[in-house]
Amino acid sequence: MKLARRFLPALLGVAALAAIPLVVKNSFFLHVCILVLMWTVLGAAWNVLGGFAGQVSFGHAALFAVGAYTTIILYLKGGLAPWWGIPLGGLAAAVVSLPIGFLCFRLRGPYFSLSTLAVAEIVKLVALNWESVTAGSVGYLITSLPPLSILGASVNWEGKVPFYVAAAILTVIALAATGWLRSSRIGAYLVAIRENEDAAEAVGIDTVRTKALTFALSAFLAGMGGGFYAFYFRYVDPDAVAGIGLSMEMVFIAVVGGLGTVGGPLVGAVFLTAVAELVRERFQAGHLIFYGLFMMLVIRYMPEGIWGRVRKIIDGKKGGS
Amino acid sequence: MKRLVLRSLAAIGVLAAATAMAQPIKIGAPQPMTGPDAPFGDKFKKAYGMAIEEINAAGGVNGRKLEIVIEDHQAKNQLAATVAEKLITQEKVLVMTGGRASGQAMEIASVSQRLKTPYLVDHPSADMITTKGFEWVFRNNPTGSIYPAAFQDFITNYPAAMPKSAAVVYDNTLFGKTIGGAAIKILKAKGVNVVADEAYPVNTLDFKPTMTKVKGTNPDYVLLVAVATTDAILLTRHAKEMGLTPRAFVGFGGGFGVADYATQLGPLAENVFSSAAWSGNPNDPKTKAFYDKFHAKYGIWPHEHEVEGYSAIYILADALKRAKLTGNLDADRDAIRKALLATDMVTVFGKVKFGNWTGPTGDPFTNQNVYSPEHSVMAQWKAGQLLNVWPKAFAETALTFPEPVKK
Repeated sequence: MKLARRFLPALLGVAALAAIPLVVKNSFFLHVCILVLMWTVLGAAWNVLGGFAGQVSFGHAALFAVGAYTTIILYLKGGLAPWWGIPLGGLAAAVVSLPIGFLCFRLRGPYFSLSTLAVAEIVKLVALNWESVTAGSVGYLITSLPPLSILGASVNWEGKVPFYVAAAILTVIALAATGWLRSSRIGAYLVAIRENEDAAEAVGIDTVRTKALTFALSAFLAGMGGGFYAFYFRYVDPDAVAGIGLSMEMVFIAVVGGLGTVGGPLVGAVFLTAVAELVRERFQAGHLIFYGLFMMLVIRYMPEGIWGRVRKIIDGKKGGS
Repeated sequence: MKRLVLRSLAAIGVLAAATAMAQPIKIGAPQPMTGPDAPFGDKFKKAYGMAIEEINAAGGVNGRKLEIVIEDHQAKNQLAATVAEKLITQEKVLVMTGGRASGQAMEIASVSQRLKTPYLVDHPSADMITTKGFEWVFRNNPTGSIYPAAFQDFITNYPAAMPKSAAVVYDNTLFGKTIGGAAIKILKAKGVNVVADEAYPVNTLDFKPTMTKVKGTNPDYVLLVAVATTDAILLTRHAKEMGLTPRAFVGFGGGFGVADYATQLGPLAENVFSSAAWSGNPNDPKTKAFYDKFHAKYGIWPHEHEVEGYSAIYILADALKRAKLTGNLDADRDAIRKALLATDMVTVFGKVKFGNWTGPTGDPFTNQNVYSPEHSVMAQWKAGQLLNVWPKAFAETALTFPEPVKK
């Protein structure tokens, strides 16, 4: 019974995810859904490190870029299909994250944040100048995707459904990983580190190792998000995948949704992608003002995020009755 | 009774068809209307607006009015793909144009190709957009690798202009690298010794070390490529301060063509060549009339962006006029694509005819304007004014070469 209650919301969520493409036939709406899911994965990736471990990274675009480049290069140069390339992109980002973590985690608080900003800039410069591998500022373009058939039916890459399914699978992986982390021993370590790093060390937690492992998980998710981006948007260049704007948007999604919650990134992505799209449609010129205003209101009045506030209200009611 | 029903049904049918025909023809244009590139989006908005106003005032296209639907992509690739998708599937535009920067245009081209909607590129210059075999993508403006065509013509045909050696300094953006690379290729093909090949990051504050290095090679020509105005200014200033005295300084890219360049540099700008973007032949009376009309309407003089945007609408209107539109979206888009393939006209930008040909760096172009190599010009700064000097057909004044040596 307890188990059922714990997994019921997750099951309902998966069912809703699966139902969307069956119900919705409008391709633009599906496109927005795909964007929401992609941003959920990225927000969740950032949340693992920023929300649970309290390590604020401003450089997640670097990991996103490693994933995007790995996936697109493996496909264009090695002919490796994206469904292999995306996990490998995640793996590559995780591998790259280890030395970064080793270096940056020696710093704490704002110093750590600034060092991640520098790492992102380095990755962008490498992408720009390592032309033999990354094609420099010219970038890579996918013009066609490999034929694939599932149960005898060939997949239509011009449609939205295959991308939606891929994004939905990544979302489930990202949220399940976050859920597992929260209830695991490492999750408890992370909360201890977030609340008081010295105390955590004093009780015998290997903080650098724990943080590095978490960073690797976060990088893996961000890298897969990057791989998905390459596969869906089909064009990768340093500005598109390694810009600082990307790092910031991941932070926003996690913060607006709710730091250190499982569902937060999904809620954040829905608000910041879908709402931004709606506002943009209504107000051509002033939409960025609304976007900024929305951010300010959430941070001022709901510092725990939208999902965080909803959880609080639900839990509060339970406790009261 | 039955006949009456049939008749009224027929009448409704005709009416419906008539209203369908009277509906405006929608052209989609993703542009940066907010964010860092917003001033450029505004230039295109004005240019499109003026062309559409003129065409509609003259009766539209086969009796139907034109309508431009501009969507803001904030200079973000991801949003460019999103709004392109929206224009094509939600707004149901018949044809696309715009894009502004190459990264966003790549996404629009990719979406247009997949959703089988013709896309006329009016400004983005990355070669890749028309070298990937996209049959739904057309381009009127020259690509980056075509920009140095006038320079090539100059060193080949002007008496004794052939460089003995050359230094090439360019920024490491896509634009800078493409032009720098194409210029080096041209020089090497002519047997010119390229004595310095230097790339720098945008917004470099000190070019003195680079220029000291370049000076050591004693180049006969110095070619500078800069997208950013500050880079163009500092490149020139530091080169001259370090005592470089080539026969000619040739600047490529937007930075060398703006008024700030001359006001900041003063006499140092004198006689510097600027192989700037093409914005029509100023000696053509029709182009001149457009400049004046645009200035009268908006109070600013049009440059390449405005000329390109304005011309794009006329190219599309011409194709729409020739295409047989039936009301079926897919069939109409294909008809427009076919009509664009048969385009052969002159706009204020110049001649246009789309074809498949091999570009200067060996890339195979698809649907790239075959007259693009003619849309390249060299201008020279003369007393604070930038005047076209080469080729002769587009010249506004006589050129000064080699640069007079000052004592």
